[in-house]
Amino acid sequence: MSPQLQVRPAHVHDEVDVGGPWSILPIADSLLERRSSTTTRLGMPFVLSDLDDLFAGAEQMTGAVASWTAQFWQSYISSTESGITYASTPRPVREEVQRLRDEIARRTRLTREQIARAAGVDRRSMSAWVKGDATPSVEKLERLQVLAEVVRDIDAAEPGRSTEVLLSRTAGHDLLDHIAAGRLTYARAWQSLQGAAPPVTVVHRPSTKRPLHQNALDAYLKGELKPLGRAATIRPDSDYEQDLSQAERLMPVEPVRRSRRGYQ
Amino acid sequence: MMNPVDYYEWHDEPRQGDIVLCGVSRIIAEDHHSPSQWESLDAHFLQVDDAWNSGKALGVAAGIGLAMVVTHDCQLDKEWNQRVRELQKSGVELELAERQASADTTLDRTLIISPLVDPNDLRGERGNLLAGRVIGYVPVPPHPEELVDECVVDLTYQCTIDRLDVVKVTSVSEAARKQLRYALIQLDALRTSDLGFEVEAVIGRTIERVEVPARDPLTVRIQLDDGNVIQLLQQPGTPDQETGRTGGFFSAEGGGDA
Repeated sequence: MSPQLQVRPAHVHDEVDVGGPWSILPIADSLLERRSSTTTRLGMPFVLSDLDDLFAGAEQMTGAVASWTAQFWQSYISSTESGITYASTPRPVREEVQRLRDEIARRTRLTREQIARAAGVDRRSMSAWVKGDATPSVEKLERLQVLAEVVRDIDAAEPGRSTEVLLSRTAGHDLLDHIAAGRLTYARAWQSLQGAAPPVTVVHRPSTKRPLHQNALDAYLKGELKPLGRAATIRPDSDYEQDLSQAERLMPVEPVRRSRRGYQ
Repeated sequence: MMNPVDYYEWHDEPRQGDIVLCGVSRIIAEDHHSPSQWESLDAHFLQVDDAWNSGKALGVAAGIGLAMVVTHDCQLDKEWNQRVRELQKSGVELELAERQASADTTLDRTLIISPLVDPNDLRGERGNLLAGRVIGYVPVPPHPEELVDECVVDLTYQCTIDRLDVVKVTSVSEAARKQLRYALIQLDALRTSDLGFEVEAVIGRTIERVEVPARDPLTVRIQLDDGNVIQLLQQPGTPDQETGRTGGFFSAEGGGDA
């Protein structure tokens, strides 16, 4: 137990102390007193008098939900209407990675390699995270969380199409590439990225003189011309084979030329 | 130029040399430049922004035009023949195999074509172009029913198109097809074949090797099969002010680039 935390039996008339440097945390039949600090690794239900104090060590906060990674621990804190803040049970990062990976795999047909690609790593690195042999950076863990959120969002918007949507490519990139590159930082952005076809400009230039094909086009429009069609002929295999060793015998030597200028 | 009566000859089946009405296209740079001979073909410009994923756009010029099929006859039914062979190997009778292969619309879908262009739009001398003396161009006489005006096939513009979007206008005789094949060889493979054959006929020997020494580029060394070497000395030319070429085939004097 951290020297900043002290536990004593709770009394019936005890009240939450919201002043001073201490926070009083009622846990079961005990009160846990916590000294104000810039960091916390405690994730059990508790009451805080100063949210800023708790959030001092957080790396990211979105709306009412804040999350951060501190070594092997991650805490979720949510505010209630009463102003009381609770923190969920801390989850080792390796468990969080496994939970996210399994959820994504369950909701989609993505392979583990593809899931790892969205996090910007290979399958072995992700396995190492799950085994606890390695720890992902905050950035990579966030990308995995974004992928899970995107999967949930696609599932809600287009049920059953999450894999297809995630792997559909626009301008050579699928959504996994966008997540890995950090171009997709919140879940809803997948819709703009996925449906974003590159802009196409079409310019028409009217002919200044009668086109060469005009008579043929007129005949076609009158129904006088027919499609090219196909009339295949049985041919020996030799018609489709070549022997490059014959090249030397058949082709004369081209004259050696100086290199040409003007091509840049 | 061949007589139209000798040039045109109708054949129902698609063949190399067929004149067709179809779409043509080519990749262009961002300035949408169209060489004058292709302006009538470049009726539409399509630009896909950031197609290279590096801010660079991809441009296409496209249009409708008359064109000549340059794909060899054998290539026109290559996949069909492969399918028939496969079916036969699996025990299917030939007649049934042919029917099954013919029912597959995905086979042999593509053609290579070159557009027909107005010789007046080309920088070369019209007389040389229509006489078939300019490499890369094949003269086409006017069609008896006026479906095709007097023009040339521009072999320097080739594109691959889908067979299903092609309308057959007319087909040509075997003599016209020979001209096309020879022009294709001259453009893409054998610039010097004609000259070589003529020299061999004159001297009565076979040319084993021809080279232009790097240190003396005005000299052409012709090594014969009897060991003798003939050296030809080129006259230094004056570069054209516009093109920078010396005696290029676009000049009014005609001749060849070979």
